[in-house]
Amino acid sequence: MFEGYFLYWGAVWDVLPKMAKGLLITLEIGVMSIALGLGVGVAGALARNSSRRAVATAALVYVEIMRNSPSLVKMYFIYFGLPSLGIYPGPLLSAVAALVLHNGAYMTEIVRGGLAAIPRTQVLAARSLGMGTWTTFQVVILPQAFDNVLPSLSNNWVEIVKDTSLTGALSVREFFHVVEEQISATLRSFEFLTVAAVVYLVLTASLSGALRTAEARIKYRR
Amino acid sequence: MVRIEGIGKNYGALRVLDDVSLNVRKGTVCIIIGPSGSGKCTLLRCVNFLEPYDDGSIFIDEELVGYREENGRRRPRKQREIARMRAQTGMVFQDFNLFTHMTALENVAVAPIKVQGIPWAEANALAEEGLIKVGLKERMYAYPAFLSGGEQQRVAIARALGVQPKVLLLDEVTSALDPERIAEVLEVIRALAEEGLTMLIVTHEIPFAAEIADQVVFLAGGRLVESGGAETLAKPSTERLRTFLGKLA
Amino acid sequence: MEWYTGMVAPLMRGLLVTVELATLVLVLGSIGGVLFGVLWGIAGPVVRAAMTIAIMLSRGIPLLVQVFIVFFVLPFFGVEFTGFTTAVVALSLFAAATITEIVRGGILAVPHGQMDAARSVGFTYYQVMRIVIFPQAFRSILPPLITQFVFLIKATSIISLLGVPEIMLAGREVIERTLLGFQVMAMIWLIYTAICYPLTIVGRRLEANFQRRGFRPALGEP
Repeated sequence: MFEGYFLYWGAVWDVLPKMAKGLLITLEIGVMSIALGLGVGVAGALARNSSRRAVATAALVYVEIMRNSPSLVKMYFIYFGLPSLGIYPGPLLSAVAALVLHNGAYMTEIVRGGLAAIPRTQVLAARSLGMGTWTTFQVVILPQAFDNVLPSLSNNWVEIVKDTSLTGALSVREFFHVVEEQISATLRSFEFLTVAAVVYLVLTASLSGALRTAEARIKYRR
Repeated sequence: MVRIEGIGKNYGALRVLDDVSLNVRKGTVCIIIGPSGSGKCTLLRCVNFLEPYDDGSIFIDEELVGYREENGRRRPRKQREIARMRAQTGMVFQDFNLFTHMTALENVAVAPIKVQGIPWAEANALAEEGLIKVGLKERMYAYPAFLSGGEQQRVAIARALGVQPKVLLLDEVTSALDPERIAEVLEVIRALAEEGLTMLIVTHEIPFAAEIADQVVFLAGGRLVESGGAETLAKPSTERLRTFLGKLA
Repeated sequence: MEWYTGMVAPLMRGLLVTVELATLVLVLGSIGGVLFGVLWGIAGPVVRAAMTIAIMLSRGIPLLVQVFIVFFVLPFFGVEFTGFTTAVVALSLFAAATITEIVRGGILAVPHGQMDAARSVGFTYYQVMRIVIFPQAFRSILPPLITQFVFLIKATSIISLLGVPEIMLAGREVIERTLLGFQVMAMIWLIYTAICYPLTIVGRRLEANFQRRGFRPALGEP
C-alpha cells in the first residue's frame, strides 16, 4: 500500500485560497437554495391544501414530477435544455434554480405533513377565542407547524448541502469542482479527497447539529 | 412451589426491592398489592428473571432462578437454561404485549413449538383448546389489532399457559382495560384459581383479590410491610395498609 | 429515422446501463444492508459503535465525493476498477449503509414489551430476534426501503460525472451533437419519472396497507 507514494499535504496548503473561494460559493448556493426552497415549500404546501381543485392538483403534479427524477436532470434541463428555447441561464443561476425546484417539492411535502399533524382542536380553540383565519394561521398554526417539520427539514437541508457538489457539472466553481481540478493538476487525489470529505462532514454535521439544538429548545419549550 | 428469600434489587443508587421474603405453596393464589413504585412489578419480573436480582434467592420447585451455585459462588446460568426456566413461569403483562404479527392462535402456539419442540399439529390443537378455555373460539385467527383489550388479554393468558407453566404471574392485567372489559378477564382468572393453578397476582382490584386470595402481601417502598391470609384485606393490622386500602376504596 | 438513430437509440443504450447499474446496486445494497442490519440487532456495543460511525460517514459526505474516494483511493490498496465497477462498488456501499440504518430503525421501532413477552415464554435471545423482533421490523421497513430504492435509482445519475456512459452522459453526448437540449433532457426527465413514480406509488400503497390491515401469517398455514 502507498508504494512509492508520499503524502504531501502541502499540495492542499498551496491552493488554500482557491479552496476557500470554492467553499464560499458552495455555501452561497446552499444558503440560497435552502431559503428559496423553503419559500417554495410553504407556498407549495398551501397550494396542496387549497380548496381549489386545479391549484391543489397543479401542486401535486409539481411535487411528483420533481421528486421522481434526480436533481442533476433538472440542472442539465435548465443549463443545457433551456438554451435551445433561446433562454440562456448562467451556471450559478441554473444550479440554484434546479436545487430550489427539486428540494422545494420535498419541502412542500414536509411542510404539508407538519400542517396536517396539528390537531384540529387547536384551530377550534383559536376560533373560540375570536381569532380570524389569518390570525389563527399566523399565531397558532405556523409556529406549531415549524416545530413539527424541523427534524425532516434538517434532513432535506443536509441533502441540499451535499447536492451542491453536483453543480460542478455545470462548471460552477464550487468547492468540489476546485477539488477535482486540483486532483487532475497535482494528482494528489488522496490528500484532496480527504480534505473534501472532512470539509463536507464538518458542514453537514454543524448544520444538523445546529438544527438539533433548535429542536431541543423547542422540546424544552413544550 | 415459589420461595423468595430476602431478595433485593437496585436500579443504580435506588433500592427498589429490599429483603423481601415470600412463600407461595402449590395450588395457592398470592395477591401482591402496594402503591406504584413499591417494587411489586419488579418482584414479578424477577421471578420470571426478566430482571436479574442482586441479593437473596428465588426458588421455583427448589430450583434457584437465574443463577447456579458453584463452590459457594453464584454465577448466572446459561442463556438457554434461563430461557427454559422462564417457560416454567408464565407471565401476563399490563399492556398485553401480544406478538402483533401473529394470529391469536399463533401467539399461543409459537412458544410450545419453538421452545419445547412440540410438533406443529399437536401444539396447534393444544392452543385451540387453550383459546376455547378463555372463551375465544370465534377469534382464533384474528390478529391482535382486531381484538378488543379484554380479548387480547385473554389471548395473553392463554399464551402464558401454553408452555404449561408451574406458576402464572399476572402483572396488573386489568389496569389497561376499559371498566366493562375487566370482568371478562377476571372471570378467566377466577376459573384458573378454582382449578388450583399457582398464581402470583399484582392487582388493584381489591374485592376480587379478597375473593380468590389464599395469601395477601403488601409491599411499600420496596419492603414487605404486611402479609397474611385473605382476611388481611378486611382487617389490616398496619396503619400503612389501612391508609392504602382507604385510598383505593 | 434520423431522429431515432440520432437521439432515441443512444439514450436507450444509456438507459440500459442505468438499469443494469441500478439493479446491481439495489440487489447488492439490500443484501448488505439487511445483513448488517441483522448484525446490528445481535451485535455488541463495539460493533454497533463502528457501524454507527460508518453510517454517519456515508450520510455526511456527498455521494459524489464517496464515489471519487472509491475511484482514486482503492488503487492505493492495489485494487483497480473500471468506471462501471467503481460505480457499483461505491453506490452499493452507500446503499448498504443507508439500508442498514433503515433496518436498525425498524428493529428499534418494535415496542419493548414484545421483547419482554417473548422472553417470558422462554425464547432465547436469538429466538426472540428471529421469531418476534425481525419479522415485525421487516414489515415496518418495507415502505422506507422502497423510498430509499427510488433515491438510489436517482443517485445513479451522478455516475455520469465519472464517465460511465449511462443515460445522463448519453444525453449530454446527444446534446453536443444535435443541440436539441430541451428535447433530450425532457425525455430523460420523463424516463426517470416513468421508472420512479410507479415505485413511489407502490411504497405509498404498502404503507397505507400496513397501517390499515395489520399483518400476514408468521407461522405458515393457519
